[in-house]
Amino acid sequence: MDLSMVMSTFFLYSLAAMLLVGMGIYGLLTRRHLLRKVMALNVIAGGVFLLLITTAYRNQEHFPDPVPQAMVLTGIVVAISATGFALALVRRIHQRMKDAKTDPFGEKWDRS
Amino acid sequence: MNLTLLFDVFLIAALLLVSWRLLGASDLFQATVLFISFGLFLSLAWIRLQAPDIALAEAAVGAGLAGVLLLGTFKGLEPEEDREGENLSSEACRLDPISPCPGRAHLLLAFTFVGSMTALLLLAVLDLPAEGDGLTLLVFQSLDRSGVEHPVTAVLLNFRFYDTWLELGVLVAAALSILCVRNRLDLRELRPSKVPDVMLRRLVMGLTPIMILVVVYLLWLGDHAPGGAFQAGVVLAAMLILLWFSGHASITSLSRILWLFCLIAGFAMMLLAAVITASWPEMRPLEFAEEWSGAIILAIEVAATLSIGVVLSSLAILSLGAVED
Repeated sequence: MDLSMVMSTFFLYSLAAMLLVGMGIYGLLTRRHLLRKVMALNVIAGGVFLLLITTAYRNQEHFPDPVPQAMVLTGIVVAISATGFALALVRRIHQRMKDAKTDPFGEKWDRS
Repeated sequence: MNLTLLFDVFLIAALLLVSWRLLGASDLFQATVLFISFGLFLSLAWIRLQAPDIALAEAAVGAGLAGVLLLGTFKGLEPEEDREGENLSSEACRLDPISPCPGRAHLLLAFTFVGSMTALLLLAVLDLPAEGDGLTLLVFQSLDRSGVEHPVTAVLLNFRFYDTWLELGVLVAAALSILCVRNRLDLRELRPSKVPDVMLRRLVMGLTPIMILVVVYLLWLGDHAPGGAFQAGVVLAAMLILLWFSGHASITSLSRILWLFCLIAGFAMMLLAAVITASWPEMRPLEFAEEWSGAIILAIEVAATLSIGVVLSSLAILSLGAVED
């Protein structure tokens, strides 16, 4: 394959990856809702994965570099389990806030 | 040539637009749906960048499972209030209700920080050496001795065995910590929130053998083509979730010990492989003898598929399920 083609693809996608990371961090900093923060974290993860995969694409001989690909594969599964855990925490926090609202003296908190 | 470039530009524009909208949309439900399409666009990008292994996993995990988890959580956070927009639920979901909402100064500060950081990252990317083939050659030189023919599987389960091992540890830790957060010991009393209808039950019943076939096929494919334990595990998770959702026997009917066994099977199998290779003469720990490596990798892949499937479906069931009173 033409080297300059590969390079221009690499630059396009790595630019997109960096913009995704930037947007994700901005969302993480400015959005208040916890569900959105979890989504923003996932957008950051998407950007990082995209950078790794474009690097793998650039480093090809006959096949793209399998090492970053394997790392991203691992990363996707770790990201989903972290997301699952974060969402469980969000639910728990929500539950507690609701309890605190209907229970101003925090009696439920003490018991649990 | 120009067509590929056009495709790239469209795909990147779609990715950026969708992620911008999902972070900015005022409606949480809309954001969740956009998040699912973000996952699908990402998997298109993986295909374009010649990473079919990752596209398979991303389509199932990023678009499917993450969507299920987000929708389940979204439903759990008082659906009536959420329809109104972000205000009410964002009040309810902030960590500290007394803290002020982000004002102009906060936004400006965040924007400056993010802008300079993105610029720095871009500079770093541009600064990468233009030539280079990474570890591609090295992987291909040692591929003959790895026991499998597909380079990504060889990296995952032979050359960088540690990563995969620790990742399975992360999965076990995630499942156990969610159980802690939800105050549960196991999944046994969790039921889907709606009574499944007959049509769905029949459909899932018919699909189950096909899905089992797909799991086995993907697992076998990992030896020489894109596929393997991850993809097979995700399909297994989808099958378990569907079975549970339509009211059939699934992992919720396993006993606690059996469930825990499935949970740690992958991690334990890798530990076993590590112990065996450590006591092997003339071999370093985690270095597989050439004639055995194919068999060892297959055993690990089967166990890892089971673990990944069970953990991921447990995550979804824990977030969707409700206890019957």
